[in-house]
Amino acid sequence: MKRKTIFLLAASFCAVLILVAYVFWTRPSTKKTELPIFDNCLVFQSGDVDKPCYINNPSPVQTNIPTTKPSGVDLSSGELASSTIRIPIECNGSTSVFEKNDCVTKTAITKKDASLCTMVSGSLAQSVCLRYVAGSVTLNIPVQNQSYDAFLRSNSSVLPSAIQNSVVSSSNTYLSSFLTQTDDSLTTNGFIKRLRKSSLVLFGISPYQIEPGGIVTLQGTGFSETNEVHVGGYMITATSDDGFSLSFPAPSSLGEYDVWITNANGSSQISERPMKIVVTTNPTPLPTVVSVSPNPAEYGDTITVTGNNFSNKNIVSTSLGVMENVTSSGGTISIRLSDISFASQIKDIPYMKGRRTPILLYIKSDGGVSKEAYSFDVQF
Amino acid sequence: MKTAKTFITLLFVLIIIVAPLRADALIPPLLPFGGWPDIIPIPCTCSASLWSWFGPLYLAGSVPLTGPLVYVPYATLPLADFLITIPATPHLGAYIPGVQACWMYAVFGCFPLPSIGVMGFVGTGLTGGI
Repeated sequence: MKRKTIFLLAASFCAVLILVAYVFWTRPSTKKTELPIFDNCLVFQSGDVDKPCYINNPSPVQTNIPTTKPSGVDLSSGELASSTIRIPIECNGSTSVFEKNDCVTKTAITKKDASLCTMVSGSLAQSVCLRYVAGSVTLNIPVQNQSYDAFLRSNSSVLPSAIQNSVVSSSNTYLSSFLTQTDDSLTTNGFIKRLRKSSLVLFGISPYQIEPGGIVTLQGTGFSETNEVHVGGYMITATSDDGFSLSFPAPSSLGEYDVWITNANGSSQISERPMKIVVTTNPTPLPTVVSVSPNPAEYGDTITVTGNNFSNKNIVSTSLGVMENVTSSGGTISIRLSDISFASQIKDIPYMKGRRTPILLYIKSDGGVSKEAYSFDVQF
Repeated sequence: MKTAKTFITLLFVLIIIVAPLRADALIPPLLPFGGWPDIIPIPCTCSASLWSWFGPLYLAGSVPLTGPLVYVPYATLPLADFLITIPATPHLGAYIPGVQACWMYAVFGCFPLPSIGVMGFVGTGLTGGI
């Protein structure tokens, strides 16, 4: 090999090493020790609060959280004459987002052995109570995480409803390092972790009929990273990346098989509710929905579902409920919306009057369940 | 010319070996929601979850909607006041769109009762609250 070639090989190897190091290297933390600046706090001042707390959470650590000076604009509560909401004057840019480390301060004059509670709601729900307090009490609540659609709520046993829904969000006056999230329970990863630890339940198999060696997908809860899939007498090891789905190849031998999973969470097998697949050289394809008419439909309408691979008797599953044993004719299924199981309950909801709502639809035929939900509108 | 070809081929092979080591999350991120369940929740016979119709249903940055969300015990993180899927109780939380988590049992398996998504975490107010 020529010297130039060797040099180029070495150079390219070094380039890839640098690339790998850049991608996988754990970057050092840039977290600083400065405290966040709380300069836009919402201040509650209420009169007597002597009713018991509904929530029994421990009080937060009260150190290092400055209180806002009680200078600001008074808003009358309307319901309780002695109550006012004081919002610092600089807090005039109300939004519906609390940022992490925003400060909510509640001040109240309480009777002896009273309790004081405040709840911060939003996409993050957070509530704090002080118990057995008396006199002038101040409760500082550092918001634990960013909270969309946020507002302050106090349950009815603590404060009158008229002063529940005022929102002030601080601007980002603190360092971005304080936005670093350490607890992932409120993230997708936290959800996946809980899914993995859930009871092992298998509820979805697709497709129902499959050719030998074809890929079958299972859905359920409690799937570990490594699972044993039992297909009749066969056992296949399969991994699940998300805790609720996994795939495996069907056996090469034809026949109908019971399918269940075992892993560290137990077994999904329920003898009264067997989950099956059929391995065949000529599988019935999954049903597909091409159109729904009319669209939008009205509540009293009969809709026509057009598609492929419907069987003589089908299950129509929609956001309005279920209809079983629905016959098809020439690739169409006709159903009256008002006959669907929960349709009348949903129609009677006062909020639904005059509203147009997207409805999702699945068809289950001999071949299995349609892969994608079909969406159409219903006018109530 | 031959050296250049060797270099490019080798680089390509090495990148292919390294690239698959990284994978992105399979599930979409949580999105905030808020709203009020309107009817008694429907138990999902296959998936042991609860299907609940919300109206109004506030999703991030949109006008009020209506539609079903699914609560999966344990997997959905419950927060105070824990009155989840109780009608006329304000709910706030986050959901994963498009994941079908309510399944009903039929003759030879289960089928999904469709929903907008599955709740990742949810807190509630008190029944009748705003």
